[in-house]
Amino acid sequence: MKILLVEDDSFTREAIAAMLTSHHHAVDQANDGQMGLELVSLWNYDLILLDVDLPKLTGIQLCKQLRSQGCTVPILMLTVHGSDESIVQGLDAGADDYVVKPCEPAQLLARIRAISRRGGTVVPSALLTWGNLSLDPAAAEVTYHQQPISLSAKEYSLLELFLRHPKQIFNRDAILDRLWSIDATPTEKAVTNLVKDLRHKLKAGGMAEEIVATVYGLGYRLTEEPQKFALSDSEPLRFAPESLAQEPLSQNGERQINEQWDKWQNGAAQLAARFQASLEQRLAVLEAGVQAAQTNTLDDDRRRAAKAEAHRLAGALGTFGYEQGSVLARAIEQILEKKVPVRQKHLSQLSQLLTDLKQSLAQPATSPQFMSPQGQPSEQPSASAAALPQDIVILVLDADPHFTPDLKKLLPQAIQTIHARDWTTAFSQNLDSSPALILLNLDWVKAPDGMSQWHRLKRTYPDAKVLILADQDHLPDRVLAAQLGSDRYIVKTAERGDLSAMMTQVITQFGVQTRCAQVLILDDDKTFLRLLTHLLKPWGLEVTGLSDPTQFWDLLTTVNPDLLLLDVEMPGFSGLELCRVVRQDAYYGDMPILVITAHIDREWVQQVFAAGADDMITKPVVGPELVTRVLSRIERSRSRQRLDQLHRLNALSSSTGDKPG
Amino acid sequence: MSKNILIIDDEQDLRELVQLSLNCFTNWQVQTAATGAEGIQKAIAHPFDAILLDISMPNMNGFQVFEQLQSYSATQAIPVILLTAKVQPNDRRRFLEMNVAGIITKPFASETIAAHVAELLGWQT
Repeated sequence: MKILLVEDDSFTREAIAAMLTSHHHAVDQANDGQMGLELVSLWNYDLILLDVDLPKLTGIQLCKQLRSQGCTVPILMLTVHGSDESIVQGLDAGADDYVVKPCEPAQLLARIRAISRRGGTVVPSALLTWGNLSLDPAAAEVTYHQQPISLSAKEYSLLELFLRHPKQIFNRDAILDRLWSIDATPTEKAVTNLVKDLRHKLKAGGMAEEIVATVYGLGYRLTEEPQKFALSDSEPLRFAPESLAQEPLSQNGERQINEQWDKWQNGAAQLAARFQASLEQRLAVLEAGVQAAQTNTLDDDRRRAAKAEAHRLAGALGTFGYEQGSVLARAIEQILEKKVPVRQKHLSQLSQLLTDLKQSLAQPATSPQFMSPQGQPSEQPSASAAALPQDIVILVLDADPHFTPDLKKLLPQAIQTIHARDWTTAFSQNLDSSPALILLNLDWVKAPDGMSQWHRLKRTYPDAKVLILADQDHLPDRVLAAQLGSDRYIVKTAERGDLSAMMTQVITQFGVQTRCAQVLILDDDKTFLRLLTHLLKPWGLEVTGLSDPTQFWDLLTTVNPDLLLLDVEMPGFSGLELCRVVRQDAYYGDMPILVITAHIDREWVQQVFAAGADDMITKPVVGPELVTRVLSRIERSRSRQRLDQLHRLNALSSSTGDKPG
Repeated sequence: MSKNILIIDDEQDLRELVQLSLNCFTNWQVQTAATGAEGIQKAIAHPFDAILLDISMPNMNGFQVFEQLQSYSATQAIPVILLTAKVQPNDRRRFLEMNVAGIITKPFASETIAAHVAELLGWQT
């Protein structure tokens, strides 16, 4: 608690202050009534300890004045006057309680606790609890599952502050104000570090739940109290949060989230269509305003109408996927805020802004769910759409040296085609990823040992679709291909156009996927993880979520992602620490890393980039921005990989005298 | 236990988009009002756990609505989150002085607004 002690006797004042400080209270001191009054007007206190006999302004006068000004801070009178009359006078002046000096420290502390309970900000219990965490103000002790947790005085005070005000958001200033006395000069960074230390100590004490939530842009607050649960005897007290990857949602849960998402996308597309249909009319209001301004006929009513429309568009366009439109509309609004007539220098700006706004609205919206102008839910864009390259691998097992080059001409450049002349080379290929499609000449299966090699092939690449290549269209061959369980039977002498159509058909109809880009997201907030996952999945990305930073390296090496999204503030390891760890690794060091943070001050931004992050995304996350940044980073990274590969091939061909095929 | 939320915003598309988002991603009961007056009537008649309030509305703006809500005993304790496109420093100062539960700046990400509201109110989605 933050307590103001108003006492003119320096010895008594220092003694009481020392006793209160030793019980984790922050104490400001005043040696006369006037100083006390000034301090109350400047700072927020949880309690005022007030001597009665004070110079300049007596305790009774000060108390009356504070109450007449609407001050509701609890006041405890301290006085040597123990008569009934004095006590009545003090209480009538507005004091909440009365202590006769000298009094036992334990009694004073108990009365302070009693007053704070009556203040209505705490549960009617001596203990402050949150789930299985308890703070005992009487003993100044914090326990989790009855096990003590050692906190510093400031950490204890911060925890007590949150527990006493469970619904309140405290910004850093408010916390500084409550926890530090006025002679201390800490910076806001001290609060950030204090919150971090408190979280860390509670985690170290075995507490898995996050008790302090960061409210982006506003400060900190106590999170909602979890349901208490009883641990079984066999259950350890320490809790190791599982990653989402290792703790998948139940099928029902997954289905429910997918249904929610489908419902959302369908509804959002329909609303977006209606919104887009209204844009012409809205722009007409702006246009009328701008034209009137240019002909100097803009009256206040029309200006207000145009300004209001610009304001509404500024607020709505970004939400419906036209972020640039919001920026332009806001600029128009700011010009129209000025009194008429609009100055000459603003007229040309206004006209240009309106033109730019119309052009920006002629472009498609930048969110997947807002892309359908007909109001139908958008098709899910595949990773092969502009954003991502097709990294499909096709393995061709055919002795004909001309077949594979011909096949390559039929396919997009991004598709990797690997040619093997025989079974041995088929299994010795050092492939970056498993082939999605295998073209196999049926003669290879008919050859001695062909069937066992076929089974080995299926074991090696169980997910690959297999197209059987046959020299002739014979029914027995078709039966054999069917017995093998192949997916298509292709006669090699068929027109190349037919072959191309067949390939396309298999790629599209058989669900052969391009190698999706893998994104690994590390964030200790599971709800946020799921949101990010659903923002990214429609763009053809494979997303793996992890909430426990301690499992990060294991999962990184398992998933081998194309891009990392790291939250900064997490228990255990911070996102910036892990960013440095990745950068130090020879294999993963070049991986694109995006950091998600609520901080946007210059010093913080420098820290993020100094840690090696490629980019920064600020919370609250805007869907289109996140998607654009993630996709462009992956595309850039893959382009660089392809270029490196090309350089290596060129270097190889230079040394061997061959041209790469 | 399900929460009850009231959205007061004159902008129909945005109002319905927020409603859709809350309906899809939470189990909260959502009601809407197109004007400040309608919002106040609904807030008095129904025990809401939170109100999302637009600031720029014709006739009765968000400031006036908030003042009215604070004057009735039935509504003064309901946490209010402002939805606003006003982002000037003076506006922000005024909002902070209003003792609201939070501010969500327009344009907002409609996919994550439920999580944002829950975070401001300390609820779970």
